[in-house]
Amino acid sequence: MSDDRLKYVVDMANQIALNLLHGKEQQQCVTEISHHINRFWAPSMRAQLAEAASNDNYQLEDMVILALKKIKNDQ
Amino acid sequence: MITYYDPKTEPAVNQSADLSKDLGTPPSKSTVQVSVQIDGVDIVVPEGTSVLRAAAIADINIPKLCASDNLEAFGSCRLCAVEIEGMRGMPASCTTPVREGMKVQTQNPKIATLRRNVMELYISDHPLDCLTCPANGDCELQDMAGAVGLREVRYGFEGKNHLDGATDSSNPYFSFDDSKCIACSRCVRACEEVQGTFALTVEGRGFDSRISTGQDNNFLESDCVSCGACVQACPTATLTEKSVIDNGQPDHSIITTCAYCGVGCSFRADMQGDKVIRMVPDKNGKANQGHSCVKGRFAFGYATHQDRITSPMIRDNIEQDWREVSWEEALAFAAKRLTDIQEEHGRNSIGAITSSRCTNEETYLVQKLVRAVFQNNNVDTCARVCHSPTGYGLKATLNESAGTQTFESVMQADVVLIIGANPTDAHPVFGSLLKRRLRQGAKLVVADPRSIDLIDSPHTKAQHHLKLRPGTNVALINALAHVIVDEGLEDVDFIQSRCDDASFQQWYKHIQDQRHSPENTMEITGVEAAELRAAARLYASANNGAIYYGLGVTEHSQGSSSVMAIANLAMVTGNIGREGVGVNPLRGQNNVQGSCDMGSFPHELPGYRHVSDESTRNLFEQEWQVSLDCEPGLRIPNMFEAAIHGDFKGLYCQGEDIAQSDPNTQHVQKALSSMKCIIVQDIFLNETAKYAHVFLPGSSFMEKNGTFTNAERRISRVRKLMPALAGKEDWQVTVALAKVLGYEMNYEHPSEIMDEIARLTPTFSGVSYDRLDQLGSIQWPCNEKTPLGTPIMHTEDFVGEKGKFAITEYVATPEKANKHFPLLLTTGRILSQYNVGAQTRRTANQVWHDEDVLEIHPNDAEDRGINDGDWVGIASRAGTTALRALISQRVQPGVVYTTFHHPLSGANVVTTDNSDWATNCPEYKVTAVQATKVDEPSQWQAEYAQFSQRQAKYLKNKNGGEVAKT
Ligand code: SF4
Ligand code: SF4
Ligand code: SF4
Ligand code: FES
Repeated sequence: MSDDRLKYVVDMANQIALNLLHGKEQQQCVTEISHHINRFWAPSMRAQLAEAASNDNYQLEDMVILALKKIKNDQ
Repeated sequence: MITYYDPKTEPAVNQSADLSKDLGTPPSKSTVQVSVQIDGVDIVVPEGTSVLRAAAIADINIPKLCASDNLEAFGSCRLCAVEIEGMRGMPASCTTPVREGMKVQTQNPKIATLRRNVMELYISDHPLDCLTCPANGDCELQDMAGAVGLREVRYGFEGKNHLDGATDSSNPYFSFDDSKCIACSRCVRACEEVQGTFALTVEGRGFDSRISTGQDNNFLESDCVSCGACVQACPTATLTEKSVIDNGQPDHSIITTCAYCGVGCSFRADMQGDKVIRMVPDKNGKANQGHSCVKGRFAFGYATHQDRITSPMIRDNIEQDWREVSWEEALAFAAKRLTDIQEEHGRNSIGAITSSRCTNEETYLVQKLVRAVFQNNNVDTCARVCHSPTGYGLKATLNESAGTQTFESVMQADVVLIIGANPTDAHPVFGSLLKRRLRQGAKLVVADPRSIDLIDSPHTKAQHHLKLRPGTNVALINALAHVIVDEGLEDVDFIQSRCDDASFQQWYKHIQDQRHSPENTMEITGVEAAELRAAARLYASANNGAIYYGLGVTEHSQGSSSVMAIANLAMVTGNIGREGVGVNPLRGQNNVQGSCDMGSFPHELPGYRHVSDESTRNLFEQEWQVSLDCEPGLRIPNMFEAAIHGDFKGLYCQGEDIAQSDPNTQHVQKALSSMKCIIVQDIFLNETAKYAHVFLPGSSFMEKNGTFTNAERRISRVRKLMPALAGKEDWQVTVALAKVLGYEMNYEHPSEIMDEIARLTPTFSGVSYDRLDQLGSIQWPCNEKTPLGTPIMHTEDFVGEKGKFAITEYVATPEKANKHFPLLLTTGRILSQYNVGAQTRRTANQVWHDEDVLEIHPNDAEDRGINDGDWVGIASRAGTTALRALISQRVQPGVVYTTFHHPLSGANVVTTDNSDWATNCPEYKVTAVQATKVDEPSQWQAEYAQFSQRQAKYLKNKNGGEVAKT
């Protein structure tokens, strides 16, 4: 998987988190991020995000990492 | 010969309440009824109705010349004189209101003599060339001469007259023949009252009165915006369409819908055989009420332009000549390529893009093709790049992805807040209606980085212009909400009864924080705190406060947050659920609302139902007899990304020009060049078609039946005026493509597609072509509960739920100005051109805007040694282009502005990949750039010009040229 491709989904996920993390408890925030990614992202993009999460080269926001865990647990 | 008419569409033109008859003066809004007797006939009408109108309602047609029912009565011609019991003389019936018990006589010898004398005076100063006059047969002066029985003109033509008056032919679409003018001032009043431009005046007095465009200008050089209202109002041949002068009078008419902007104006296409002679705005049209703008009224010639491609074409690669082939061969070629790609690269390696320029039925079929035949959800629409944040934001807060009002509702608004929209350019007919309301006294607040016309135009001034920095909408709207909460201006009853308490409490706590105060956000937005506070108070304290917004809200990295913040603002002030209020997205293209409604987004089936919803999927699976994917597909930018990385290889693109309209052109070009099969269905070889392998000729709105849904959720009929030039209507092409891919779609007529939509979509269940023909148009939801449609949404609840407040924190865009890119570029539209310009560039509208220019503030221009008209290089992090400079005070220092109507301008070469966090709607409105004086086009422009020349050659060789060398 090329770096650009993963960076693209990482940037998107981080941007979602940055916009959703305000004025809420962590749990609500994580739920909203995972819900958003599940609802609007194609499975291929979710897979790329999961791949990026396991690669130290990408800086995922903490909330995104938690949201990814939730997506995995809910499956 | 009109044999191509579909029996199902006729007698479609007859609509229920026919307003076509001119009743002479506007209706009275009074609820008090009065009884009058006219020529012995008793009639009851609202108080304030003119005698002329009351008589016309009773089918007693008093002659008139200076009166028309879309204009305030003026009383200048005296032709409508009547006798009224107890009143002296013969008052003008157009300026005399009815009174209880009034007895009116409209006919007697004395009245007849007066009317004949009036007409005799007019005719004695009018050329008697009726037989060769272009208005012959459609002239009120001629009709009135007949109606009053004029048989002789005693005064001769020797005395002082206007018969040698000059003709002004400067406007490309209509001419003004002064010799035929009777100085009735209908044109002047139409320009003022209907259009709101005030371009015309009456100069001189009495006999010397003449119509003038002011300051010795001709029409073209004047303030005239070519809306055509004056032409329509003129009772003589003075103002006449050039198409009528050239072709003669039309012989029949068909009602259809404009294919340009989201206002969705209804038009009467006046025809000779299958040739459109003119388009006249339809008085019955509920969106436009008889008004139009230059695009819908005059710029329809593109439909028969010589550049139309009417035969299918194919080629193996994009550096090859096109080959004109039969429909069968083209479709078989396309189908084989798509099938081969899926076999080699997997089911998800292909997809489609629907267009907001196409009909509901066409977009519905394309998404059906993707879901049922491609077997994935890789379908998206051009709304992705304009109003996808509206879909997201309004669904999240108001529980429905649509605007809440009718356009007419603005006539009851007391305060109008316009955010990031420029109605007089982009939604002109709504702009005119709004101006009329502002002239009646409604207050206006505009939030826009640029000074739009509405801020200061004749007789309308904005109370507040919040001239914010590009990219700071959320901070600004939050600050407005903060003031409302801080100063206790919220509508507690509405919030308690209509809104979700938990979300409100959370939002309330959030918005109260001082970081949202105007004083603290001033640094971010650049808007003075006092001005912002005053604007917030004005909106919140209005009886009716209405918000209208456009792409200046949605096309940002926080587009969806802005939409939700707007919904918060409306809910916290209780400005939802009745006339005069609401949240009103001004949709760009004609069918943005419809293309979204029809399931064009990759995560939603028609009616905004998520693909993961099993019961919805089951419904469609049963109807379509296939199983459907329950996972969302790729959005347009995701498709590009996947194409560049080799995972997405085939695209069917109907009626959309992504190569020109989408941001970061070089990125788009790279994506398009990476695909193995691009199928473009369009009426012209557009920019995207230059990257295509299959070209399927499309049909213009004149060549097909269907429906469009405008920004008010109003579904209106598009009716076929002429046979499809390529032999197939667009919907038939999709049906044929599905068939060669092995899937039967069985429709005889688009009405059957609408029947299927209605069967599967609860908000459309009451919609059918029969009902549309009966009612003229329908605003969805239209179902058992609301069989006549729903003009105003959320009157009792938010689609069965409570309104939800959303937390919308301001997050600065990553696109920041710095020393390398110190200016912020923002983009927009101009009245005469439309979107990528493929249509309007092929009309005489070019006379007003034949190139895109860069508006730059005088200070920024001076710093860079740039003068008006200089070539300016514009460099961003994405690319470089060059445009001519237009030095303008409309933009603030540090901000530059351009339009994107011409492909070689390369406005989107400069815009970046940044996009809305929730929907990936591109951030067209904020790009950090540097502007420098240059003397030649950019490298991209030079290369693109060469590429376009090669593509033109490949097209020219379509009937058997050599395979070109690259
Ligand atoms: S075309 Fe429209 S803007 Fe121009 S003069 Fe006539 S009414 Fe006014
Ligand atoms: S141009 Fe037509 S509408 Fe205007 S004053 Fe002359 S006759 Fe009347
Ligand atoms: S306002 Fe829009 S819909 Fe109406 S005529 Fe103009 S372009 Fe067409
Ligand atoms: S129509 Fe009444 S005065 Fe002209």
